Amino acid sequence: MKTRGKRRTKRKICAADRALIIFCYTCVFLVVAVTFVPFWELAATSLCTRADAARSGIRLFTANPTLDAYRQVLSSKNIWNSAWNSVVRVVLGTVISVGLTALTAYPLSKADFIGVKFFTVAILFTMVFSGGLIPSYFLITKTLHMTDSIWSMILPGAVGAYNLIIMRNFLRSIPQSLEDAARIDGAGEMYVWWRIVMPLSKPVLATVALWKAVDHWNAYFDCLLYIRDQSKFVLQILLRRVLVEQQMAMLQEGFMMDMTSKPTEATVRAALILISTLPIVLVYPFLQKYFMQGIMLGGVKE
Amino acid sequence: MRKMQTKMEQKKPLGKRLRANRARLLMFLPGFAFILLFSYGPMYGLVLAFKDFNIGLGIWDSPWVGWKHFRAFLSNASSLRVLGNTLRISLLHLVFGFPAPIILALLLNELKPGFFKRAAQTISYLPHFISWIVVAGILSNLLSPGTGMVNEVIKMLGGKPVYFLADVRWFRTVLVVSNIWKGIGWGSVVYLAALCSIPPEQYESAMIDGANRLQRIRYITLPSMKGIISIMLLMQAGSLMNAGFDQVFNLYNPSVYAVGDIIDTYVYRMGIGQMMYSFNTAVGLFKSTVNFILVMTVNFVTKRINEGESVLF
Repeated sequence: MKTRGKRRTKRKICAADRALIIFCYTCVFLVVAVTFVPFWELAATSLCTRADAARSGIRLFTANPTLDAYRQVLSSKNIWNSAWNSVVRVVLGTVISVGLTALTAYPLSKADFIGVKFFTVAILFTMVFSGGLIPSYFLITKTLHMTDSIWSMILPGAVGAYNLIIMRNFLRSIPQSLEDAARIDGAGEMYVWWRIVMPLSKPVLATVALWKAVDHWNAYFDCLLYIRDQSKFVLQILLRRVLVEQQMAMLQEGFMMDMTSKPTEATVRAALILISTLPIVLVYPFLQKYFMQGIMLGGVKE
Repeated sequence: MRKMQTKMEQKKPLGKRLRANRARLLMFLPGFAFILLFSYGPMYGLVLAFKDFNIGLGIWDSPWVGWKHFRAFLSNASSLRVLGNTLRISLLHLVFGFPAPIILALLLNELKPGFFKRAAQTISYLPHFISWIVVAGILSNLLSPGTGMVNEVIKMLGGKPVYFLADVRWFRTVLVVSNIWKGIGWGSVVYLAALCSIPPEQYESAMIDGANRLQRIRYITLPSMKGIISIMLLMQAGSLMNAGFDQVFNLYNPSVYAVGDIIDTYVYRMGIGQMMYSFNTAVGLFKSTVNFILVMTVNFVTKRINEGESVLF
């Protein structure tokens, strides 16, 4: 009698557990589906012919896939030009930012660096208070005259407090004995930094570099504020013109096709979104690894 | 040992210490100059908030007007509406958006490690890396009243299509839901990391005591997340005045200004667009000051909660 009762409660627990597990899998599946379906639908839309795109109903597959929309997007001079500007910005911005941040963080990680307390507070303060939009706009356009210069998008954010602190925290965890050994051999600070500290800092350098690179790839607001010359626009501005402001003309020059088979605006927009997301997808495995690492590297603490 | 060395170092005269730190200063000062120029430089421009800017006179020679712009901001109906929108949207994000990644983390935590779990994480993180401009493009495709998928479903269920992005009754809902869509996966990472640190013995002994899964979540998983949840909650509360510029800026349009216009978008439109520099510097300063007070309060509270360990400093 007793054993039977026990078995029954055990079975009940198992049933409850199984129900919970099924519930969890269902919910996670729904989250994944809701995240993924919009992308899938875009892909299907981007491959539609003009006739299929005009048909109503949910589009998850298309019977006659065509690459016309991609052909139109890629035939536009604007997209190549702005994508190139974005690449230049990402490379230049990331290299300058990571280099300067690593250089600045190293003395900051030393407890016996002159004025280290004052400098640290001065840096942390910029995280909680800022001059705001208009004063920054004045500084860059009126005082520094950086309008229409690529530097207006690269220099203002090059040394950020958050990345500095992350980097400093990591550098602190490097054993001092390694540096001391080199110093006894007569090595200077720069040598120690470049030859000993930097090689050991690869994980944090990769994290900050990827953060910076994605930031630069997705940034648009500084370009909107400071760049007037259309030939210097970055890709996100082109995307904003086409996707948000619906200026399809940005993509249509140099592409002639008769009106009956020309891809619709919706298919062109879908193709443009997927093309602009491709670089992110390509570096995605690294992003997942190093972004995660960044979160593990811990919070901002003094 | 190291501390004593530092103390001895500090007793040395300044000149000697400068010389000893020469190389380090050379490494440090270029980067610090960037911070001085681009973070502290604009703080000088804040004097504009107390002046009536006149292009001919420049920042310094423009006449002082005291608190005029602040008074104007806090007594003007349209700017108060902007302030109200900012707080309302932030609170909606806090109430509906904040718990979403916690729930996802709890759900993911119950899955068996393997292909499905990894794939689910990989896919749910993706929207985090995409700009709001692209998300706005995806949304306008998804929500379009003519051919959008959401409206197709509504029509299939017998409803009338809704123009979500231009309807004042729906715009804030779109903001909240799209923010969850973009951030839920990535937001769960922090909580999953916290869950990893729960010792498995706790679960094992609970299982021996006959606790089922729900009880294990209730009595082991949730209590051990309390610390990280309270920190994240306070951090989000600290940014109450930021209702998400990039999101609103790329999704809103004049037909939803009444419910969607927030401080940052307002400052951009009025300040840069209409060149009302002084007034909007004042609005920006008001916002930064409130933000500063909020963050310092949050920092103080978390310090109390975590026995001296604070989020910031």
